[in-house]
Parts: sequence; C-alpha cells; structure tokens
Amino acid sequence: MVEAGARASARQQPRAGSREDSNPLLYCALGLAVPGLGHIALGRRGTGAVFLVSIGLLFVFGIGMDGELFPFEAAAPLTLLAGVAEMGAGAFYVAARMLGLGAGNPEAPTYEYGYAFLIVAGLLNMLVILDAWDIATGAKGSAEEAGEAPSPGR
Amino acid sequence: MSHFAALVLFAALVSPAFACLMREGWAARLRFTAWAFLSFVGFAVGIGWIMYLAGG
Repeated sequence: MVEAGARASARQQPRAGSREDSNPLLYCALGLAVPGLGHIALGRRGTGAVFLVSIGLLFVFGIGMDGELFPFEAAAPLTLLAGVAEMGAGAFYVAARMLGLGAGNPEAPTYEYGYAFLIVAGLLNMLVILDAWDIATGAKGSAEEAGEAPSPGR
Repeated sequence: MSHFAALVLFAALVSPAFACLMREGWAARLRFTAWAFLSFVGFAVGIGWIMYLAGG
C-alpha cells in the first residue's frame, strides 16, 4: 500500500531535465507539423532525426508505390479513418496534397502496399506526438537520460 | 517491387522508430532495432510458410 503510494507520488514528480515549465501542447503541435520536430525542440535531436527520416521515407515510398491519400467521406467510415490516419504525417501530407500527389492507382501492383505505408506513417507520427507529450510533461526521462546532449540554451 | 522487398523496406523503416519510442540509450535502441527488424521479417516469412503448407 505504502509502496504503491510512493510509486504514484514518484510518477507525479517531474524528472530532472524535463520541460515541465513549458506548454507540452506546443511540442505536440511541432511534432504534428513536422514529424520529429517536437523531439528536436525538446533537445532530443538524434531521436527527432530518426523519426523525421523514418516517417518521411515511409510516406515518400507510400506515394511512390501509388498509394492513395484517402478522401474524407462520411458515408465510408473505414475510408474516413484511413484519411485521418494519413493526416498524422503532418507536413508530408500537406505537401503531397498541395502537389497533387497521392491520387492512388488501384490497378498498380503496389497500391495496397502504398496506402499501408501512408497510413502507418501517419499513425506512427501520432505515437511520436504522444511520446513528445510524455517527455514534455516529465513522464519520460530527460535528453541526458536518453543519452543525448540537450540543445544549446536548454 | 516484390512482396518480400516491400516487407523488408517496411521493417527497416518502422523498426528504428519503434526502438526510439520504446528504449532509452542508443545501444539499447540499436539492439531493439535489430530485434524488431528480424521479428517483422521472420514472423511474416513464418506465417507465409504456415499459410502455404496449410493451404496445400
């Protein structure tokens, strides 16, 4: 009982080096705008770079494999969910829409792979955003604890 | 692109991201990346063989 209370108390205490003094939503918004940018702003430059490259390449390969950026059709709930998932890729999604990419070609042999890559890119970035929230609120360790040097000025 | 190439590409891109989400420290992340990559590929090939053998 006492041990459980101590654990709960420890969870509520922000870890050393966390960014509890700033607004966690800011880091989440940065992560939504550009995958990994929230982590970079939190001083985890290496981690942010891994997310940027991984999610970026997933999205680019998805487009290259004739994957489709699904429209938001309320009449087709699964299509709607797929479209929302793809939106999670942030800047990549916006750029692809602006460039007129992602029309999709269902006759292409890689069409299913393509949209699977696009959906996973968006969903993965949503996990990354939640991770940025945990770091910013102190629920996860600091950059130093993760083996990364914090950004200058942090 | 073949099924296997798409699988390997997917595993190679997703594994490091999962490693960065689930592990702290670069050595642990590198180990997790290798483990996740091999698991993705291994399970997919294994399940493929099971489907092939079960389907006759």
